[in-house]
Amino acid sequence: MLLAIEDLHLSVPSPGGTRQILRGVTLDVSEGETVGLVGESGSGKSTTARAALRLVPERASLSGAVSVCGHDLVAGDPAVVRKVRSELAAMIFQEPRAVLNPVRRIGDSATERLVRVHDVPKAEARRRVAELFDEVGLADTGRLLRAYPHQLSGGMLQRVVIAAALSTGPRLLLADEATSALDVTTQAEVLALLRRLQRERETGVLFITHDLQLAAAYCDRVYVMRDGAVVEHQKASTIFVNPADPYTKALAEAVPRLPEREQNTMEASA
Amino acid sequence: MTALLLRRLGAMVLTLAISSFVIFVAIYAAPGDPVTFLIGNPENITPERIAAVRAEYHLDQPLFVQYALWAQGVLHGDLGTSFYYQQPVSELLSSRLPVTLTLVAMASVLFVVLGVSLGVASALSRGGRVDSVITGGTTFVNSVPNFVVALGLVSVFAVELRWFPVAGEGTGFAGRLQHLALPAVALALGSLALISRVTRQTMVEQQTLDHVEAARSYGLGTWSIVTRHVLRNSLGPVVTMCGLTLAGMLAGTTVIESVFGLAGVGSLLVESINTHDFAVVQAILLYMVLAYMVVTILVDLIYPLLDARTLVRSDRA
Repeated sequence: MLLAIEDLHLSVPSPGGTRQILRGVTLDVSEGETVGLVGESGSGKSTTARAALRLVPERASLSGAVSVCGHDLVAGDPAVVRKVRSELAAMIFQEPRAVLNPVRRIGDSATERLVRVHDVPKAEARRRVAELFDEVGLADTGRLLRAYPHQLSGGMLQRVVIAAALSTGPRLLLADEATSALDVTTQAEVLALLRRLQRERETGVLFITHDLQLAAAYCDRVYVMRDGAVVEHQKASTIFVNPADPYTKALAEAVPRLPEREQNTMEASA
Repeated sequence: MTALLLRRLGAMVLTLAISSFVIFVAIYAAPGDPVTFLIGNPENITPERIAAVRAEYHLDQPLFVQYALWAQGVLHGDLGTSFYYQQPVSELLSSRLPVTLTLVAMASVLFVVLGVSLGVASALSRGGRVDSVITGGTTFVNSVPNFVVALGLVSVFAVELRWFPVAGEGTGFAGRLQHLALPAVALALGSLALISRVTRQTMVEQQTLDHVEAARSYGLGTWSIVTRHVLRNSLGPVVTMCGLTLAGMLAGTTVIESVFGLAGVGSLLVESINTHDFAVVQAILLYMVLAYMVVTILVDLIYPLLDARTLVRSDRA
């Protein structure tokens, strides 16, 4: 099991006592599997993914179990946290423009984890990242490495971020709305790319999205979260057919459909 | 980059032209007839003498002609002659400038190094004891006028402890440093507080940004996160603030120079105003405007090196 979360509770102190953010989340991701985590904003899906890297607020209290490749993260042993963050798991954040340091060149940002965390020599790191750029479909890598984030499009930046995340060979990818900031065409390209790379490397992916349809189409299994708890867990192929939870049902029915083009509506509007 | 530089230089020339005119007119409009001061002894004031002096100093010409004659001289490096010292203004200035520039340089080193360090320490311990002490201390220092600080420093370190001299600018390099130490501290304290607060504020804002969180997510060490992300990205505002403070300081040493009896440009300005030595006043005001503009242009040129995005923005503008 790459990622196993069991009965995870998380609360943070707030002015009126404590605020419960996660209430007993249980989920798991295996090798080579794509697992969707769906829910509206504030449902706790991002917090769940961040807990896998122990990226939790400083004063948060954590109970339950979170383990990545068998390493327990709830205890918060710094050596374990460092190992998980640097070697085992990598997160692809939602906004590529925000996660790349705006004042540093792409090459500097993309090689930062290799150079500063894994002590890979600079030239070697640049060579490896350039290879990955090639693999994620970025051309003209020499110029790209010298560019600044503001000179590139969102789609290119997301590829850069994905290449950087893959550069350390993580076994678990946490994709937090990794394609939401992209236009539909780019989104499809990036998803296809992720799928291919994932197959090649047997990577497990926790795919977080607010889009139930996308999750159902792209993932193997889907968890639905609401108010800090998992309310539904099904195979992706059946989630639209027979949603067990009323909330999932509501989500599934909330998909907007274009009205049929009918003669009488045309007349009414005329 | 070249276009940016040219545009800034063009704006600088225009500003200089306007401000020199304002300076000239302000002194022209100042109360008192310069002729009386030029002649000095009231017994010598006769209509013929007045007419002669007026002609000598072009005071009989219209305002614009006077300005043009003066501006022409300035452009040729002739700042006029001091009525009071009977000495070319440029000589007078060049004998006073080293003291002021050394004082500002020492104060700048103090407020940049200490201000940024205190700001970093404060930001890293946000909400903690160190932060409270630094924030409280800098707020207090910032709210005390610098001549009060200066008098306090003199009474403690010069009069009581006798570590530093009370007044004067000293001779030789070591003597100069020792004499200017207290004035530099007094001059730097207020700015130090300002810089430390700007540094703290900018760093606190930067700490919450996504790229800092992302760096944490892949295991980058705390030190690297601070130096490579938080502090590095705060440099733009911090450098700008340091530059503006330095620019203001070049034109704002008057009070400190007077308190410590330093023969710098600031105290010369006060003397010249008191003795109605207009040529000197004009030259010093012009120097202050020029110094301010040169420093701000340097900051403008450094900024794109710190943050490439600004170059794009200013190119579009």
